[in-house]
Amino acid sequence: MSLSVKVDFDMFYRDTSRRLLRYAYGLTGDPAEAQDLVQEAYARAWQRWRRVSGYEDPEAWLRLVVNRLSTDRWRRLFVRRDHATAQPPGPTVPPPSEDVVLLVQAMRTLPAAHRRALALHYLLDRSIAEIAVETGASAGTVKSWLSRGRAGLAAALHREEIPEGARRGR
Amino acid sequence: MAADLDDIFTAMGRQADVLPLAGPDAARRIGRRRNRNAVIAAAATVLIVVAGAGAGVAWRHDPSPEPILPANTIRGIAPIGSPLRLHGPADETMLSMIAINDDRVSVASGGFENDPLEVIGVDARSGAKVWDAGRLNAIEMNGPVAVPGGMVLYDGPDLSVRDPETGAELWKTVDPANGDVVVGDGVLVRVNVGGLSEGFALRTGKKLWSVPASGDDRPRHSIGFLENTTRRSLHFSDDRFAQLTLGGTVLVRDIHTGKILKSVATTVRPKLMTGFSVSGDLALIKDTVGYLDKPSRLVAADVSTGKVRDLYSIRTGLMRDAAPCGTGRICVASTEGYTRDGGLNPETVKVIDTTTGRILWTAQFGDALLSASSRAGRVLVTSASGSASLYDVDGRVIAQGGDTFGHIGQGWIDDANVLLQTPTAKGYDITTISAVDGRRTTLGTLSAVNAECTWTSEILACRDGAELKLWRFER
Repeated sequence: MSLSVKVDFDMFYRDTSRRLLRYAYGLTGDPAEAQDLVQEAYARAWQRWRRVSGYEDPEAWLRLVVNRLSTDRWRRLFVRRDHATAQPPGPTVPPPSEDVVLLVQAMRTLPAAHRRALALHYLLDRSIAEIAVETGASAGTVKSWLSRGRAGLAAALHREEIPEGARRGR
Repeated sequence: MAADLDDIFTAMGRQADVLPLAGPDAARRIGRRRNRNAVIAAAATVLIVVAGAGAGVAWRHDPSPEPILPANTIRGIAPIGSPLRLHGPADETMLSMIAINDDRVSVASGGFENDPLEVIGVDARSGAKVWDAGRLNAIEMNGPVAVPGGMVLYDGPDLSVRDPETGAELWKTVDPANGDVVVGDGVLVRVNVGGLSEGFALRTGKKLWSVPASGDDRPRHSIGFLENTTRRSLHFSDDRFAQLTLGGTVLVRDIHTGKILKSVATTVRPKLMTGFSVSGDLALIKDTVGYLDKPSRLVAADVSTGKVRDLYSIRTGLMRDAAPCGTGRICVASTEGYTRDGGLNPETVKVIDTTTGRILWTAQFGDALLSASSRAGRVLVTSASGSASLYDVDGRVIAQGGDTFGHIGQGWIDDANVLLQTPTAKGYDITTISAVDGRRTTLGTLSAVNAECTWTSEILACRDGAELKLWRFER
């Protein structure tokens, strides 16, 4: 592909990769797995960049790829193998706080749909309407996912209920 | 834990923000390497295969494609090149199969009466014929089939792998009659009816491994892990494949070595009509004896944890089939119990959460179900009379119709669009339905004598009478 296409892709990567990594981390709770999924999503985007770049929201396409890969454990293992040979080991990062560790553990107990809705809502600041568009579900379903997701987190975190005030007012 | 949920998620986001990323170069490198080796698999032809001895539903599972955003509703088609005259009778029903590998369309066509099919290749960018592989030795219903990395052609007892770019035969082997063929990750696995399993390099035919049948507990069904599978007699997979043995054991094998990665014992004793499919980590076994007054069950064997459970069961009636229906969901088609006058109750499709076993939603039909497929959680169901229904992830109807919605073929173009071939007084209308809002767009009308289409997310290839016509979807 031409230099301008590469520049275009690189700029897109620069603008979006951090957000995608947040999302992947929210879904998986595993730093290495999140890194692999993000790399895999961009590799797939590059394979068909001409088409993906023409979408109204290419970043949403990447999130869909990450979402699908994150729910397929076997495919994730395949991705991990592919990327382990493609990347040098990264620098060490500070360990997560105790709260984050607990949240990661709690998120892992939730169904994929709830996890996805919570990650979009809390980590990417997406409204209920935006999540509904992205997931193809109704706004009522998204509300239910978020509500049940919060309840699930509360249960997993041994709290009776996470207060409604924890939800962002939108 | 002192902080509220907002604060903890904020901390999680910050944690993610400090994780290192390799940069765009690494992604481009991986993508480039894939592009060199991979050929995008084509969509299946719309031929409906009714399995076994009239066992019932033929579930079409479309490939697990890259997601296409809903904004890409198809609004029309643009012709590619000029129509191409195909081999075969012009004014009577002819046989044809079409496969698409990226920019190459392979077509086998001919008459039914002692007229072996001619196989040609067409450039999907220009519509021009680019190769002619001659005639098959036999009238064949199974080929060509596009697979990632090649094109498989059945010709009587032979199965050959060809290069779709040139039509050249790469290698040839024996088609395992009543056996299974699985293609995945550059490997073709052939399992014959005796249970002998063999792996071959797809492009060269080099034998990679061979596993003899193990006594009486030989593989009865072999299938791929991609939920697209069974394109005619071919299954598609990733770097593994699954087998169900006569003793009821589910085996997951490495497709490159044939070695067993996982073995899960079940109480099923598979027969010809036992259904076997895979959804994520679940091997799904439809265990039925085929009698309406006997129970049937759907057994789920988790190949990750080794746990086995009955996911769904019926006491009387007919469990037509069960198949993956989106992430963590399966569709079960069945008619259960009897009416007061002794007839069968109406047919239903139930969408079941594979984690909890809970029935998420149920749809009822007036006649026998024919096919079902799912993309992005939405479910397309067709019945034998020609009606079709499209449901959203929560079971609400997006589009539905009776016989006039009927079809000779239907399927997903991408996550956002469904294609239907609808009979009319003049021929067959080609119509797309937006899976987002149910909006219909008529693309054109094909011959009433011969009309059959194959498509990818980009290209539509149809036999229209004795001609092959190509179009590009416009969004």
